[in-house]
Amino acid sequence: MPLTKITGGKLYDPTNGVDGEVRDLWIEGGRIVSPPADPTIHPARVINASGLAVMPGGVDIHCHIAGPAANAARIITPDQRRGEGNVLRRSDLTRSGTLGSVPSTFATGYKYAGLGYTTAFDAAIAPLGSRHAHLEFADTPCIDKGCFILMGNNQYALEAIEANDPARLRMFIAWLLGATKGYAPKLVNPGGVEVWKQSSTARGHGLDDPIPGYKITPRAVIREIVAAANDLGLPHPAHIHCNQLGMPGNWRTTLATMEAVESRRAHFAHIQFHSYGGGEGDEFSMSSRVADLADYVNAHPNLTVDVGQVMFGDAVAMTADGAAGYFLHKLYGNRWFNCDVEVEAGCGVTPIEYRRKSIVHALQWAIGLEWYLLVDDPWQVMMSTDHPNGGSFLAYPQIIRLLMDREFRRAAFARCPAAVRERCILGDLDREYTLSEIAVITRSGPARALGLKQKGHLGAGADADVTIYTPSENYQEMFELPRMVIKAGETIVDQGELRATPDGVALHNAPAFDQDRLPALESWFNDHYSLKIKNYALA
Amino acid sequence: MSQTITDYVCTACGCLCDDLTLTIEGRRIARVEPPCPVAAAFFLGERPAPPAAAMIDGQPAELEAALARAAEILQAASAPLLFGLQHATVDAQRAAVALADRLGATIDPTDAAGRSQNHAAIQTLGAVTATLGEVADRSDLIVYWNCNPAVTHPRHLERIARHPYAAPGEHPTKRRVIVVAPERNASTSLADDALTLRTDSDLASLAVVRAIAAAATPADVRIENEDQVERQTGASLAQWAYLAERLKHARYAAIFYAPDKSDPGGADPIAHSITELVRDLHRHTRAVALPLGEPGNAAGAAQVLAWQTGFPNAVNFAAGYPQSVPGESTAGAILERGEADAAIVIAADPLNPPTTALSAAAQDHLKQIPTIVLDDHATETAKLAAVAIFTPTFGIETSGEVFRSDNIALPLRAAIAPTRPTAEELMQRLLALMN
Repeated sequence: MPLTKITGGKLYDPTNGVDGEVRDLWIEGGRIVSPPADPTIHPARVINASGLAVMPGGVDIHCHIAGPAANAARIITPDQRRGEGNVLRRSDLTRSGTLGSVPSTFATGYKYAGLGYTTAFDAAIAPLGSRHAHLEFADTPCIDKGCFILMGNNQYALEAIEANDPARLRMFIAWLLGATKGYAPKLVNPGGVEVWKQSSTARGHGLDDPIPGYKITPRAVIREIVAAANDLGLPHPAHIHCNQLGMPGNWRTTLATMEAVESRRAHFAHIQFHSYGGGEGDEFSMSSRVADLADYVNAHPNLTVDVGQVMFGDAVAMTADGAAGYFLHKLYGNRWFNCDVEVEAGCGVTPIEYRRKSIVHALQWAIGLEWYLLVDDPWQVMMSTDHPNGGSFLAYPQIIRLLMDREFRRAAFARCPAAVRERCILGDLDREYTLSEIAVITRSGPARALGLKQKGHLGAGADADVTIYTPSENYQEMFELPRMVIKAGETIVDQGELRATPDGVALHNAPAFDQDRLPALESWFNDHYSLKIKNYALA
Repeated sequence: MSQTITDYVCTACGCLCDDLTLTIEGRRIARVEPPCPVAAAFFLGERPAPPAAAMIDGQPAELEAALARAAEILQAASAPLLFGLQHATVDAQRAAVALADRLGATIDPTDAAGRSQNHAAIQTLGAVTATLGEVADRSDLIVYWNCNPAVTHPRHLERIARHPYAAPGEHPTKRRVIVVAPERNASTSLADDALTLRTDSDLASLAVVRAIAAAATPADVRIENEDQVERQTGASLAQWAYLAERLKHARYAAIFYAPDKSDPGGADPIAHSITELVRDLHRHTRAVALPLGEPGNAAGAAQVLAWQTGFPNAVNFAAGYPQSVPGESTAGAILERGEADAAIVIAADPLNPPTTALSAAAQDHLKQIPTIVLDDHATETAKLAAVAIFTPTFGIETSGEVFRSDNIALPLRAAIAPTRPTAEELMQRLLALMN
């Protein structure tokens, strides 16, 4: 890539303390570089960004875009793939595809790029599904990507915790990340998926109820895996989907989970779905308890959250929490895909439509917005729709407008059922996000939480992933159609047109582990899995 | 000098066992362990060498000339059809979908006989399923519905049904295996119980089982004429009630079935009914259903198509984007209607009279249009093709990935180094010649 200068743009680079100052940006060899000391050196290419806003490429910390669950979701939603708005035509540069709630892989890459996002993390891949996920990543162009590996119901991990053997647990986490080319450990309803495998009727497993078949509780699983991952020095130690997702009254479980990680670093995923007051299992009593949980987050800088914003319209519930999938299937009666994954995990998928007229759905929408507005430090809260669970990632520009434009937000809230106003405090919140704060929650914050030192900022040495926006009073329009998107120094989107479709890279971590423990692991593996360890680990 | 390869993935039947040990001598496989008749036939059988790198109009030809002729055919075609792909790696399937996209073609994953897959049940209902190991580790009741795994999937019972419990929690009872089949067969004699199923009465029988399973107690089921149940289904009401009660009272029931491919245009009513049964059983307990599995990489073809287009079965790209009209765009239907003006057949032999699943009209049309065959030997279809290009033997000389019937991806590593270009390389070269 030749020496390039982006000149005259207003830079929003919160990591480096730059807030809307006009500065030049130099790029060479796919990276941001310092301006040349020698003034006689001229760039081979100049991009005039006068009057435009320049930010790092977007980083999505939590979405579901690849692997067995995403593909099952595509298969069970053929009805969402018809009609002009749901298809993507082939061009000389691009492959064709379909959209719907879960777009096909090429379409996913193109649409993220079109939005100015250059990195995305699939948040729930069962280890056994990682080979599949990486095959899909190879067909998801334009973005760098990674996946979080499900561990919270892994029987080997549970046995190590039960045996009070943290060294074995650390070895296993390190080995598993390497074997699956995973980026970070993920906990989904820790212990609760094992309950679901043993019973279709048991639900709402508390943090201190023993996991059947073990002498340990979900609290111990959370504490020990978070501790082991922190001790390993992982860049993103633990990504947690709490127990009792979606259940009224679940905010207490969420708070208990935050307490269980003690002072260690941990990220809480789609926190909106875990912030409900009300009687246990009684959806008519549901209310917002964001304020209580946000207070805790505000007092604990070791914690970060992504929101999992609900947007009105079609979505697909897609979760490793098999019991939640069944619950939603029973609630709405839609198609249901469930796959229990040996030793490791579950998987539930069912389409869902969020309706503004539904008190529960409108409340979920409001609760999501409350999270953005009640966490004081934007570095601790991150943009997500838990795509496609709360809605599509394509809704991010609309969410940005809801955060930056309080009149727009008020008007939207006014259209929700009146009963919602009594169950949350969104109507009292006047906060408006600044452009710099939007840059934090959509790129710089996620990159920092992920420990991605080369992403989310525009300092020398960073990947040259840059998005240039045309400022507008209408922030949705501003963020919907970037003026230009640059990936690793290459212009991939110009005026809304795709110009290049690089492969992007798969980001993963392979920490060192104690090789002496491998034979015991292999022996256990052969007794429990339907395939050989050699065919399990990605080469 | 012989060489031993362990943990080899076998694509000969739908089990995709990955624990084989192959003994290689030169370019020959001398020994396969553990013993399995299907694996032995696949690995130890003769692999007839193709007559040349390629053939044009049945005559030996150079690879470059064959590719050029194939590209000419595709350039001239306005409605090409790609099918086959069950005996192909994920990379070959990815390349095939890319080529179909570029050509505005129809692509339909079929077996070697030209039979399409059916995904109507999962597209309309979903699926309630598990990986094979989940069943092997946990299930206390396994039902084989109208299939004979002891013959078609020789190691299925040993590897899955007779695997010791390995899941956490209590397993108070010994696992029970029930085979439902039209007659006593090799599988029924290995089962704990066998129920007789009258031929073609799957749906009536499943309706009875579902009705009993839905009732609070067996006494709540009222059937006017009990004798008719046995006449229509092959087993008595009491026997179906036994099966239904077993399913309800299992902790984790698993039903294996062989999907119906007889009517690719319609739904698969048996898969549909079994899915509804296991879904309904969740009012009482956990239950899952799994297809017994197809040889090769049929599951991979569905997965690749689904992630690249959103649809798991036949896709038409003529409009410039993927469209799926189940039944209408299957290879058999398109050929029968005379709608294709060129074809690419990948690892299939639909013009082999004793085995083809295509109608006579479909075969006639396929013989009339210029056809390009990519296969590992000179099949009947290859002999009749305008262009045939020979590829490495799938499952022995190919590397890449394949998907098991439970959609777990497994690595395939060539046991014998290929000497011919791979199907994916050939399709990528064809794609490059299109531009």
